Amino acid sequence: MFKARTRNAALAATLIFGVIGGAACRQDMHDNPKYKPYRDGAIREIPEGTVSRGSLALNPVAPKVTQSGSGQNTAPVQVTPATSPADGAAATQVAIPVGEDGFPFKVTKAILDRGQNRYEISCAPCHGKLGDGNGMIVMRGFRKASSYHQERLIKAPSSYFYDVITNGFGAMYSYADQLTPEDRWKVVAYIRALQLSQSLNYSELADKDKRAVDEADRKLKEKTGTPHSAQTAQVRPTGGESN
Amino acid sequence: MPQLFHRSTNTLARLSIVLGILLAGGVLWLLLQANRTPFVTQAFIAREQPVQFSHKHHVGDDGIDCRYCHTTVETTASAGMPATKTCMNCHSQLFANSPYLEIVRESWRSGQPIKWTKVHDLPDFAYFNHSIHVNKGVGCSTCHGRVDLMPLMWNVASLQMEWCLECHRNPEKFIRPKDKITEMEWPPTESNSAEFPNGWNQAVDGPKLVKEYKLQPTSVLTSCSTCHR
Repeated sequence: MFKARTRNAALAATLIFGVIGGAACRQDMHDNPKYKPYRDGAIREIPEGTVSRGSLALNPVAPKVTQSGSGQNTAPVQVTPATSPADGAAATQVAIPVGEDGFPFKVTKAILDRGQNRYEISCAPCHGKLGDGNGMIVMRGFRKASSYHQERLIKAPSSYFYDVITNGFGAMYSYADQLTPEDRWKVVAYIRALQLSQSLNYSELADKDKRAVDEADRKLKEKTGTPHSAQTAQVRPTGGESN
Repeated sequence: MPQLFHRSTNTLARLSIVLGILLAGGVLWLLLQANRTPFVTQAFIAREQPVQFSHKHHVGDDGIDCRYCHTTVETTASAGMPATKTCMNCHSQLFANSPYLEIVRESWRSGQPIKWTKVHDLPDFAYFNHSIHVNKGVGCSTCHGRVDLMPLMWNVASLQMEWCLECHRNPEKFIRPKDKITEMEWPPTESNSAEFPNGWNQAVDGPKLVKEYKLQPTSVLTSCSTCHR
C-alpha cells in the first residue's frame, strides 16, 4: 500500500516536471514546416513583367514602367495622357478625376501631407528636406542629388518626376519598389509644393503664413542665436534660381 | 515495546513535509524564472549577421527613417526586409569598394538575397501583424527598443505571451500619436517636446489616444483567438 503510493507520487512528479521541462525544449510548434515571409524557400523572384493589382489604375498618364532606365533619360519626357480606349481602359474605371499637370487625382492637403511623409522617408536622405539636393547621404559622399529648384526641373512636367522615381535617373536607382504608384504621385505633388516654397517672395505670402515664418524665425533665433536659419531661408528674396 | 523513534521525529516529519513542498515550489519557480532570462529569450544578445549591418549608424548617425528599408510595416503583417537593391541605392557609391560589403555586392550581382539572421522570431502559433500595431499608435521603439543605439541588432523584449499581454491589457500605457511612430526617443524629453507644450503625459494622453484611435476593448485584445488564430 505504502509502496504503491510512493510509486504513484514519483510517477506524478516525473510527469509534471517532465512536461514542464520538456515543453521548454520542444520547438515543433514554434517552427511549423510552412512558408512564412523571408523564410528559406519562401524567397521567390517576381516573374518579369509582373504588374501588381491596382498599380495601372492609378496611372493613367504614367510613363511605361520599364526595366532599363537609370541614366537613360537626359531630358524631360513629355508624356501624353492615355486617351485611346486600349490604353485608358484601366484609367477610365477609376472615379478619381484627373487633375492639373498630369496628376491622376485632385491635389488636396491630405495628399500633400502624405507626399511630404513619403518624401521625407524615401527622398530626403539624398535630396534633403528642402529639396536642394543636400541630404545626409550626399553629405556622406554620394553624388550630389538634383536640386528641384533648378530651372530644368521647375519646368519639367510632373510626369517627369514620376518617371524618375519609377525608373531612376543617373546615380539614383528606381524607387518603384519603395513607393507605390499612388505614393509616387503624392511625392511629386509635394515636390511641386517644395518648389513653390523655395521660389516665393516673402511679400507674396498670406498674412497668416508671414506670421508663421516670423514665429519660426523668432523661435530659431532664441534657440540658436543665429538670425538667419534654414527655416527662413526657405523663403528667398528672389525667384527660384537654379542651384 | 520500546518506541522506535524519538518524540522529536514528529516535528522533523512535519517539517520535512513543509520543506518538501517549499522545495518543489522553489524548483518550479526557478524553472519559470529561468524561462524568462535572456538565456532562454535571447534578449539583449546581439546576433551575428552575414553583413555586420549597424542600425546605430544608419538610423542614429544618418537619420534614415525605419520605413526607408522596412517599407511594408504600415500595410502588411511583415515589416519587410529590404531587398539588396535598397542597400545599393546608397552603396553603389558609398563604401562601393569596401571588402566589408562584398556580400552585398555579390548578392546584387547574382540576384541571390542575403540571408539575414532573424532577431525577432515569434512562434508560428502566434499571429502578429505589424500594420495594425503601427496604425494604432504602437511605436517601433516600444517593442524593438532603441534601435538607433544598437550596432548589431538584439531584442529587448522577451517576446513571450506575458510580454504581449502587458500591452494588450493596458494599451493606454504604451500608445503614442501615430505620427510619432518611428520616433526613437519616446516619450519625448525636453529636447523634443516642442510639439507637446504641456509635456507628454502618458497617464492623461494615453487613454485619450486609445479612444481616438478606436482601439478594441481589452476583452477583445486579450481574447485567445486574437493572436492564436
